[in-house]
Amino acid sequence: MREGADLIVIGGGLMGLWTAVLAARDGRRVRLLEAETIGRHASSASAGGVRSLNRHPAEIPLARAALPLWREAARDLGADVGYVASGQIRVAEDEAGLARLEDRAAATRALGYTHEEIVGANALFALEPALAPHCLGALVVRDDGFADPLRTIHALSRAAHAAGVIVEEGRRVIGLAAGSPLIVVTESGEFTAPLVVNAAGAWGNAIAALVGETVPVTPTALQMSVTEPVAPFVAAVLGTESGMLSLKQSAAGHVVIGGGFAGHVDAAHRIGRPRPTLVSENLANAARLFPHLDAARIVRTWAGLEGITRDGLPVISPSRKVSGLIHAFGFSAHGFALSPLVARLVMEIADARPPSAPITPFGVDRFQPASEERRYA
Amino acid sequence: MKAVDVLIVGAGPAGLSAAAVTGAAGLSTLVIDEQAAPGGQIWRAAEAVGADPVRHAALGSSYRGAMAAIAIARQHARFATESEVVDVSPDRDVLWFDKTARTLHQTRARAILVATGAMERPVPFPGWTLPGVTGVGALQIALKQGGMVPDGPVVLAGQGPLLLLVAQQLAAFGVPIAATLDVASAFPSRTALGALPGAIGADPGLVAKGAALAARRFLSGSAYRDIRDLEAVGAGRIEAVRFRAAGETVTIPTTRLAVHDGVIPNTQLTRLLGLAHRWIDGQAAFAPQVDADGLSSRENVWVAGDGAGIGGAERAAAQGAATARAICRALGTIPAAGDAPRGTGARTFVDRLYAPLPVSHFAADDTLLCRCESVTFGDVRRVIADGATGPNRVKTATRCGMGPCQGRICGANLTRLVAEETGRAPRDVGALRIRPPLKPLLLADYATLAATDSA
Ligand SMILES: Cc1cc2nc3c(=O)[nH]c(=O)nc-3n(C[C@H](O)[C@@H](O)[C@H](O)COP(=O)(O)OP(=O)(O)OC[C@H]3O[C@@H](n4cnc5c(N)ncnc54)[C@H](O)[C@@H]3O)c2cc1C
Ligand SMILES: Cc1cc2nc3c(=O)[nH]c(=O)nc-3n(C[C@H](O)[C@H](O)[C@H](O)COP(=O)(O)OP(=O)(O)OC[C@H]3O[C@@H](n4cnc5c(N)ncnc54)[C@H](O)[C@@H]3O)c2cc1C
Repeated sequence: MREGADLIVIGGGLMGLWTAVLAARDGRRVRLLEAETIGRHASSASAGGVRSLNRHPAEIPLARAALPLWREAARDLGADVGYVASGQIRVAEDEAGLARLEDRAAATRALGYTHEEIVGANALFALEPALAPHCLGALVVRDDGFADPLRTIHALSRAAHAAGVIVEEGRRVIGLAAGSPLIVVTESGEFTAPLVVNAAGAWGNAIAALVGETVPVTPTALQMSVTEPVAPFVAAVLGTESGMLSLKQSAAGHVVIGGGFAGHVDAAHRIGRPRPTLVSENLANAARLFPHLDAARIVRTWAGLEGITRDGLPVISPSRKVSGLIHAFGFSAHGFALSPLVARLVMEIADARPPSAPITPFGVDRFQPASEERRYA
Repeated sequence: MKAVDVLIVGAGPAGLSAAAVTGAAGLSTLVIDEQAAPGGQIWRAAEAVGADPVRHAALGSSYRGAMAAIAIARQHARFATESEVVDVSPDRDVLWFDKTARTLHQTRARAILVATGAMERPVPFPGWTLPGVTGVGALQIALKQGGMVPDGPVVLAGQGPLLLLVAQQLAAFGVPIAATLDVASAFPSRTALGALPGAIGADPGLVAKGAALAARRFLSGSAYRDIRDLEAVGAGRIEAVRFRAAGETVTIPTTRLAVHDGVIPNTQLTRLLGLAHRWIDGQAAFAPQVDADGLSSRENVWVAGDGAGIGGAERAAAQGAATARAICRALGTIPAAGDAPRGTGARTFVDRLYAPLPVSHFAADDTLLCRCESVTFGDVRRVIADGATGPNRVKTATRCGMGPCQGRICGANLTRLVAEETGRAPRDVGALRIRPPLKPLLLADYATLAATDSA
């Protein structure tokens, strides 16, 4: 016998959980099928940065629209998600870097946005007095921030429970058949619903492939490190033009260091592991900005699997092959910030309402087979 | 990156005897141990103990065979002591930190032998994190390492052969024992006695030694049996120990309480490596799954000694040598012949005689389970009631196991608590995922890897 629902979510990361909560609050009977455990992959490994700074132009309106949702998230979910409107700062460590940031700011302004702002050295050190003296200036977004991924997942999983979502862990989806309703096949039983959301993260392309839609996604093991708690020294989330870095300090004092370095992927076991030489490079970037961190102890490093698409943009799109199927995957290392908005966009697609931010750049059918893409020398 | 044929983690009886075999067979062998000198737990600081008449007189009998094992291994292998293995990649790149030179190294090994031994099972009870409260093993480490004798009478609580041994060693150092608090009732259980004939058959010497130790302790004065509701009380550090025995509450003033409930395999590295593990009911602990040769579920990663399941020092040494012979064959060399390790007959008796206490035996809801992140038994119970299904869900919901010890202290107890609360078997509940580095590293030390490694 097949169990029915109004909406089935495939994948229990942030995208799936947040979508399930919204759908259930709308009065739908929602079933969430998670292959492993809730939040097991990118979502719990995440650095939790809520950043509109230095976004791809196509993602700027989404990132901006997500900010008020983060400010409301704790009230909305009835639990602290550790959100801090800390601001985000990308520093220039040399003249060439500063020139690039100025170009970037001009380009963003030309698109009609005002959130990015160039600050000189004095204003920068006023914002972050602990920064190393060689920094020359920065690109700043004052109303960006960060949240705590673990608390967010925990809050969402409670909210899902409270809204009546049936959350099933250890249910891997292995088949999907068109029809009304759609049929979702797992390793242990089949389910039906007129609406199915593909929120399978780095494996979302495998779900899309079940209905013949091809999306180039590379599962990537993004690395993070964290120190023991140290005295407060930094307010904003810091990055730099001179190397990969994202650095922030939690309320408890832990310094969370990442920036997009890619570790080993063990595809068979679905795990990532940090590469020590790259952890080392990442930490050296952090200590260049904040030399006193040399004396902090690194207590943990990890690498979480995230799906990176060929163009670095997510898929947020109705299926073009099967009606009732909606894709939201491949967030390419920056989906945390977007997650509360993505759930809205998905439900707007489901209800055929106009999207609250433009989603045409994220169509599932935008990729040509690599061989057919034109390459320019 | 540097390369060796065989990299052995742990210079206890297992690692030492293995190094002698692989080194003598012509394989380049590196032994890494975080202690200042080879010897492992039983032979900790062996060379220093040998040179110190006071320590030697009090501890000497445990160190029989140590000097020879260390000398032979030193002859055949290179040693990096005072060095911690902090990470190992799937293709056997070993990341290790030399604490003396303050340098981080990466060494690629054709084969890895994990001989990381055992750790004392942490026993949570109200007040167990107060200064002055330690494990019995920690007390012994101080004796062995520097002949450091506690500055006053000691209360010993719990059960197990190591407790008996340390009681005897403390006495040999002239340390007064204020009281021994035994968690067992006076007589061994029927299941334990059932295993006794097997144990005598398998290892009569060990059983006799144990009986002698136990008898000597029973003669040593103030002993309580079948104690309950153990608690350390004090402001800032322990001032007294309180418990119930024979229906009465007893309070004994003390500045030192040492507790013990057996030793368990140290699985930090084998978990980090992602090896398959099995649950050993009698020891209430996980151990890596190995075949008869000591080969784990991962190619060319081997495990020997107490780290593969508690069997004692003699067996660890024999296993180390036998596993080393298998490593030689796997790497295409011919080792010298040797005997297979003996069975574990006596162990079953010991495990049953000192059957591990339930994890919540002494713990109240507000007792700490994870001391790094201050997570209590009650915190864990609450998130389980909220739907957390396993140790890793509990970890993300409470931060249990996310502190500097990497879950070393709370991990095994967390598995047992989740099992207790959900009515599932510990083997199904599983274990915390272990993240590198196994020991915290200064950012400055980690950040120099790229520079030192390419040199
Ligand atoms: C605290 C304690 C005290 C004990 N005392 C006795 C005793 O007095 N008599 C007795 O018969 N048995 C004792 N035992 C039991 C002990 O396990 C012995 O059976 C024996 O030492 C086991 O030998 P092994 O070679 O398997 O491991 P061990 O002797 O434990 O050696 C393992 C070695 O690995 C090293 N190591 C572990 N992880 C790392 C890492 N990541 N990097 C670098 N090095 C690492 C450790 O420093 C240790 O030296 C004790 C156990 C414990 C836990
Ligand atoms: C280390 C790291 C740092 C990051 N830092 C940031 C940051 O600072 N800011 C930011 O905005 N973003 C960041 N990101 C990105 C962000 O975390 C992700 O984009 C986001 O969490 C993706 O959520 P998701 O729900 O799509 O994916 P996931 O959380 O990976 O969830 C997908 C789920 O689908 C399940 N699944 C897969 N296949 C199936 C199947 N067949 N059947 C059932 N279930 C299935 C998986 O088990 C998984 O639980 C970071 C990511 C990583 C890894």
